[in-house]
Amino acid sequence: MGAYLLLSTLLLGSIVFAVTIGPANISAAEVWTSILHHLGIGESSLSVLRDGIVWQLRLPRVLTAAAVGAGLALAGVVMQAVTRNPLADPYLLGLSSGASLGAVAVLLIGVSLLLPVAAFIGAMIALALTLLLAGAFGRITPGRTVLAGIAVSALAGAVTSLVIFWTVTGDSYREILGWLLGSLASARWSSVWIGLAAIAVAGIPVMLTGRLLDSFAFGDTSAATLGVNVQAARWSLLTASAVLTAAMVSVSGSIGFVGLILPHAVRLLTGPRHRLLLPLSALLGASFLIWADTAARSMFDPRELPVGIVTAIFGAPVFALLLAARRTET
Amino acid sequence: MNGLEAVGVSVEIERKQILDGVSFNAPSGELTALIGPNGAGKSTLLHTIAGASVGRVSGQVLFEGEDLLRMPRRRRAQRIALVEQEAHTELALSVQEAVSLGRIPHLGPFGTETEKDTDLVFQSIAAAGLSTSEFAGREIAGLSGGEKQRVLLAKALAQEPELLLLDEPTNHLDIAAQLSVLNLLRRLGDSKITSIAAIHDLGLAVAYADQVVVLFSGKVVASGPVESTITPDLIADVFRVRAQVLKDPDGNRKVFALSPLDQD
Repeated sequence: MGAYLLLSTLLLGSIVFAVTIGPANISAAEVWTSILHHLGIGESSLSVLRDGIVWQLRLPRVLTAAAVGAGLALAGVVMQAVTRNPLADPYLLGLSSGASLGAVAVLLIGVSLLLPVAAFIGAMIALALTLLLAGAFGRITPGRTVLAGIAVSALAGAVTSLVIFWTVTGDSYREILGWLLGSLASARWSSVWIGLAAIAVAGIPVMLTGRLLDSFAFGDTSAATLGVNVQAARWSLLTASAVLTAAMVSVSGSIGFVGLILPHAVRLLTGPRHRLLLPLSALLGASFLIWADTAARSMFDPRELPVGIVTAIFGAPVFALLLAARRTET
Repeated sequence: MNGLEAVGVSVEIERKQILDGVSFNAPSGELTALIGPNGAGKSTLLHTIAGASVGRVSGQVLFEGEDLLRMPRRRRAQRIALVEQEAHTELALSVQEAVSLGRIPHLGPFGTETEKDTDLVFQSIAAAGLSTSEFAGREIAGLSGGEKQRVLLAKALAQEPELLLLDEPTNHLDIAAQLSVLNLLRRLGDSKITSIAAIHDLGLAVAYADQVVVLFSGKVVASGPVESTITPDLIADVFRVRAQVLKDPDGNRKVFALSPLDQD
């Protein structure tokens, strides 16, 4: 309970505080006034311009960061549990690459689908290909699944690059590259709704599966003897991860390492059992990405870094530490 | 006498027939040893009974008259537990956390653990022969092979099973620990738990089990009480070794001396 309160407070504080940061100097009190005003409580004393900066620019971006961070962290917890691979993340089974390919198809070739829908289709095709490939030569095992995921990721990445190479010219290179590396620069209220919808449809159900994920601790056979329908559970959990990943990729490009390192950070706090790990990873993931994005947009002001670069600079060393820790264990 | 009855159980995995019309009876409250050479189908049979088979299963497995293959998963998991031969976890679970996984079938997805569950977890750790004060808080990754095996046994006991299935439970243990685990299994019979264990060591199987089922290439070649079922001829046929019956100096169980078959 204490951890819930702590991380919820951290998230709320992060949202308000991150909105105050930027070229125009805006106080936390002004942020509150603007938010309450738009929720229909009280009068706004802010000028139209300052209110616009809070409500139209910064707040949607910060809330999108929160939703994306929470969604990716949840997808990471699920992937690590069902593949029994502590280094798993939404990238692993080709989900992010497939979603990126779907999104690029809409952005560049003009496939007439909604961006999140195309990203979801891309993610599901990648997931299906991965599982098909993993099962093509016998039973689907976690190890084979991971290797198949790497192959599918590489393929989707190559096709994405090909599309970009053929279609993009001049300045739009920079734009599309920024998006591929993960960026929240174009976040609007519509992005917030997409992110929150994915959390509602897939994230919240996933948060209730703590004990189910626990039962995978010793593998499929053990899960089956604890009463779990292993195939059905794995499929629905992976599909939920695909929904989360696709929605998040469609609003922010593919931001790496959040799904990988956040679950590990929270495990230090909660231990390995999933009932607490799931909701707390979502909360901390939300705060983490808010701060990573705030750093990305303010460190080299007025130029912006893609937030994916910031999470990678954080995440790669943590990944290396995880590998090192595993080596000493086995 | 009911216990477990397998009737014509066949299992096909990736188009290979692993079990072929397996029928046997494992009476209530007794320890039945499953023996046979490597690849005979012992693990597959145990997994099938436990509802964890990955292949196509036909036939009937009745436990106390109820068909296990058609029983709802959670209900089956409340009555039957399997101790796997090798089971690893990537999670940094403590012994107590690992053993409490055994409560999952009783708690369901959303039930809250009560004091009774915690008590049962500690009792199971103790029953599997681990000191609770020393081990409950320790992380599994740091345990020896034998200690890990006991954790898996404790996890199965925490399921409060009526039927306990064990796949080579003595594998990673030194001889003293092997005997202590087998003694534990015999005592489970007193608490009315029916157990079926795949046991590699023929001598241990004969010394500890009440009943024996001999598997060979996916078929049952003999089954029944140990004394009348295990004969030198059978051992020669199934394991390709010569067996001579020796007298057990202070008991009525058979002891075998094994030697290679003559090369002729």
